[in-house]
Amino acid sequence: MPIAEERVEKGESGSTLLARPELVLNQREASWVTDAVCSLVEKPAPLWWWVAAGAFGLLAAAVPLVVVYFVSTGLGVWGLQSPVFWGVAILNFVFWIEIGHAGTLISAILLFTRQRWRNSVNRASEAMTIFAVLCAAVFPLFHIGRQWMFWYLVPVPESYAVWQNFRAPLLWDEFAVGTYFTVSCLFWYFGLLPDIASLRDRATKLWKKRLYHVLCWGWTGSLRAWRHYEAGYLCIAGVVSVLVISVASVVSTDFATTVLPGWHTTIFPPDFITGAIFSGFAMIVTLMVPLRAAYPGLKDMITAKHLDNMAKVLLATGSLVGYSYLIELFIAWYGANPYERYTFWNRITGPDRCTYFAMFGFNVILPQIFWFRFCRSHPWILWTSSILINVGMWFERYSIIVVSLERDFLPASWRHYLPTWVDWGLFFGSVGLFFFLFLLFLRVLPTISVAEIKTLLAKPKGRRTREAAAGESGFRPGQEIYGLGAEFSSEEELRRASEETRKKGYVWWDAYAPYPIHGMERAMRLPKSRVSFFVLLGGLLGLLIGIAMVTATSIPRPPLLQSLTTGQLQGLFYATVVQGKPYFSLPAFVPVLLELTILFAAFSGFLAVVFLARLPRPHHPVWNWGELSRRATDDGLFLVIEARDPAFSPIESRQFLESLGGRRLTFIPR
Amino acid sequence: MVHNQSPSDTRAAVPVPAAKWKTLAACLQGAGILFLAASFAGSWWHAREFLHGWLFSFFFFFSLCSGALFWVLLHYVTNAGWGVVVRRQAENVASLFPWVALLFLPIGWDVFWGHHLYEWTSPALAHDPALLAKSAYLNLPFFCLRAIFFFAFWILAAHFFWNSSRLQDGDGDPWRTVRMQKASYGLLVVYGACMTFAAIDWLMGLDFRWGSTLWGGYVFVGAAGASLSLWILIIVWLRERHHLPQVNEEHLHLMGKLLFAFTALWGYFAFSQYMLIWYANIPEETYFFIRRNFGSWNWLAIGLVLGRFFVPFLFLLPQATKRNPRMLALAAGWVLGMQAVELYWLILPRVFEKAVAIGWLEIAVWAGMGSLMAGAFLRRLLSCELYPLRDPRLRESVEVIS
Repeated sequence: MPIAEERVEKGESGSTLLARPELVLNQREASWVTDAVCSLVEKPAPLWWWVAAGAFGLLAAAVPLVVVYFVSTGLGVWGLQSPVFWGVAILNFVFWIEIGHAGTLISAILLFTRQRWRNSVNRASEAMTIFAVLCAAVFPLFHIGRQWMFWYLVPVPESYAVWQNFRAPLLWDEFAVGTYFTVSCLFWYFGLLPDIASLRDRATKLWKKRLYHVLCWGWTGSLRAWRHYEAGYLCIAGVVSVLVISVASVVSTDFATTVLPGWHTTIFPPDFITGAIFSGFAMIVTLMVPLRAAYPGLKDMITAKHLDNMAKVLLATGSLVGYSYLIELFIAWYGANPYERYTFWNRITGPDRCTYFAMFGFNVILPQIFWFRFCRSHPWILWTSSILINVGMWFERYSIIVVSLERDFLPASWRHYLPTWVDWGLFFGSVGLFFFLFLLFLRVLPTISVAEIKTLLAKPKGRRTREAAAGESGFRPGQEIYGLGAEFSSEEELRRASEETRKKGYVWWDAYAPYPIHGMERAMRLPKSRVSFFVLLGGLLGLLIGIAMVTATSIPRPPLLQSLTTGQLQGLFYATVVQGKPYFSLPAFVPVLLELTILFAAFSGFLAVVFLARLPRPHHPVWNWGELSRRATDDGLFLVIEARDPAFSPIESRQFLESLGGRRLTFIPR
Repeated sequence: MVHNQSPSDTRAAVPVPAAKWKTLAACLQGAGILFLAASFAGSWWHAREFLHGWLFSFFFFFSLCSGALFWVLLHYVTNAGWGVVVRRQAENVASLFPWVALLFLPIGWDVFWGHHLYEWTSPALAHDPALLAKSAYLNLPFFCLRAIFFFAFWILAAHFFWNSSRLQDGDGDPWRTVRMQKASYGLLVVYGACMTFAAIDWLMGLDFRWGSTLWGGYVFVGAAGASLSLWILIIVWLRERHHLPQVNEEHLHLMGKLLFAFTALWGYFAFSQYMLIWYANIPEETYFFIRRNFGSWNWLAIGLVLGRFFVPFLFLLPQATKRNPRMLALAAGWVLGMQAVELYWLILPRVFEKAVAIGWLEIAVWAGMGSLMAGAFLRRLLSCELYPLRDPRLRESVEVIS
């Protein structure tokens, strides 16, 4: 029956095509993951690292040199001339800020869309986010000209009682970028907590151990803490997803709220987001491909499937960016406004047409090669395209910003813009700074999220075989007991043991694991974490503060208050008419309100986790058991019953834990 | 065939009362035709109002079908597994596109002979310079060609997915899934183009002088959210009657999360479009909102902001409401109603310029189309299994944990 056989074979090959790929290859174990990732930090830096760090460090040195030069001479040394008052400085700001977006996207939005492959790239991309935002912040900071008056942008109550215009997109930018930077740092640090604890438990030098201990707030790996941690991670990720969308949109409103042809278009907010994801993913590919080559051990965690997925994201976002380009062109024509039509005609046929073609070629046409598996699976092709894509994205901003400004409404003032060496120095300096910071990060913190990778392992079984030195955690007679600890060899056993311990009537006990274990909250019958409630409270607080701030500083002084309050309080009210907008312009206040809500929600989420998980913890008696203190953040699954539990009895509890399959039973001294 | 074990059902499924529903479907379709016939009679006196009401209802049901096709496409494009159990109902809704095409005919008539809906079709404007500037796009032959292409694409694409999935119930061939996956990437691209230009042609084209680059995205996001709501309602309905016991709270939770996300996305798109136009305040485009932020239409607009965004957003925020079938159905029904309000707010100010009004014509047309489509859907439901019996991802879907 050849036909039937063929059908069976065909069916099976179809199933293999549909099978879910392993996200960590070669059946790796938890201890291997800890070793592979932590060794990058612990071993001395390889030669290539010194060479690369030196080269990029030198390039980054251009930033302070150029800054000193143009601050001391004035911004006239930039290429800005009427009518192009926003040149490559704003362009670079947009370029960097958008590169940062992919990191947050991977951490937060891919988390919600259940893309578990993100677990191996999220840490590095979050770091990339922070460095990119840092590079971005350089440009507007110096673009203001009088840098020593920077604080005018910040709403501080000062004696002049002059307030910011909260209806202005540039001020929204400040709130958006400020919130983005702080909350990204917070989210990154929050994700790092368990991994820093891993580093702490492996550290051999005392000062390092202490430093890591402080940095991880005394993380124990207790599953009661993990529950709050997971809830907090989800909440902050939710808040951050809104943030990432709002920041790119706010940046786009710098352009889209104006009446300038080529800038004023409603698709800009989502277009900037897709562009941000696109360029950010390209940058992640640019960083990940060499990282995999430099540390082949990481290839089991950052697999070919990861590169394939990232290439697919590049294809999807590149096509979406193309959609925006085309619909902008279409509506510019369809709108039949001669100025609008001319702007686009000028982009395509004018003196700077090469920028338009670079943008279209690199951003829309080039990613189409990722329709083919061949291009997705070859790191060299992927890497080269990722760099070209970011070149294209740079030209996109050039085409939007500079080329539109060069042709203003008065042809007599048309002028060709050329960046000077100072502009280029600052840009390439920022490129150097970005890569230099990333290289530093590789040497200081775990590049891959150790705890999150461990949740992906097929069977995190194999234990680290290390004979426990006799007597190291030995219980000496006469010493006060903290509790009885046991190790379990699999998640399933720990889950069952927890369930039995709970059913037996124990109250003072806890389980410890290097990563959150699914189903433990049911086994331990833990109530739902209340972190989300605090996040909501924080968000509401931020919203209220924001409403009070933008309202008071924008409306006229209410007559009622004049007789009741002091002059200082009345100074808050600062009614100005801007662009004919009403004093209370709700649509224009939304960005600032949103950013403040997010800022407060994220921080209250972090603090709620810290306090609900009973952190910071300078010392915990369970660490008196050497086995647990070494391996609770590595590959050990432990259960500890405390001696203060009313049901505790040294002999019976020991038998009980042994009957559940516990090994290495140890009485932990206090 | 080892890879097609049917998942262990904890509860036995109650079979669908086929005979009863068949009669119900016939009654519904009969009533629908009756309603539509009655409204056609009313068109004699109020042709303009009738046609706008017709466009409103047409677009409402069109958005449900096109949204359903998007969810099917998205399932394959993202290589998803969770939604297999519920996917068949989205396929069923999407496969109603031939009916939608039929409902387009009065609009097609108006383009040629009535000229009530689209001002640019009127011969009186043939020499208008503003229209001439864009007549390369806005001309009758091209308009019809586009409409035919859109419907041909949607009907064929929806049929392809519905039919392949149905055939897989019989032979359990995993290659069908692979083929649908491979086709879905390209089809999604064409789908995006069709959706954009359909939104431009049929809604934005009501006023040919006005344009917005975000329009296609805005209409699409609304359609996807509304269609998702209908999908949730169908699933909850089948589940509550124990016809689909494989669907558990995890699936409802996931769909609830999607509804939450699309509520937020709608808010984002609508706000972006509104805020940028309001902020720049350019007369030639800001009048679109001035017309709709006037008199009682303004109250409707504020109601839309609250009802289409804030109410479902806050309601779906806690986990409990997403996992509770009744609560989720309540939210879904609400969003579906808000989609109707939104389309009403977009289309009807052209007829009722001074104040919000609802005539019996609008109600009759909407009820007629609704019964017609509901009957057609029931027939579809009965013509195939309630879920893809032998999909290779079925087990993954049944065992999904949200």
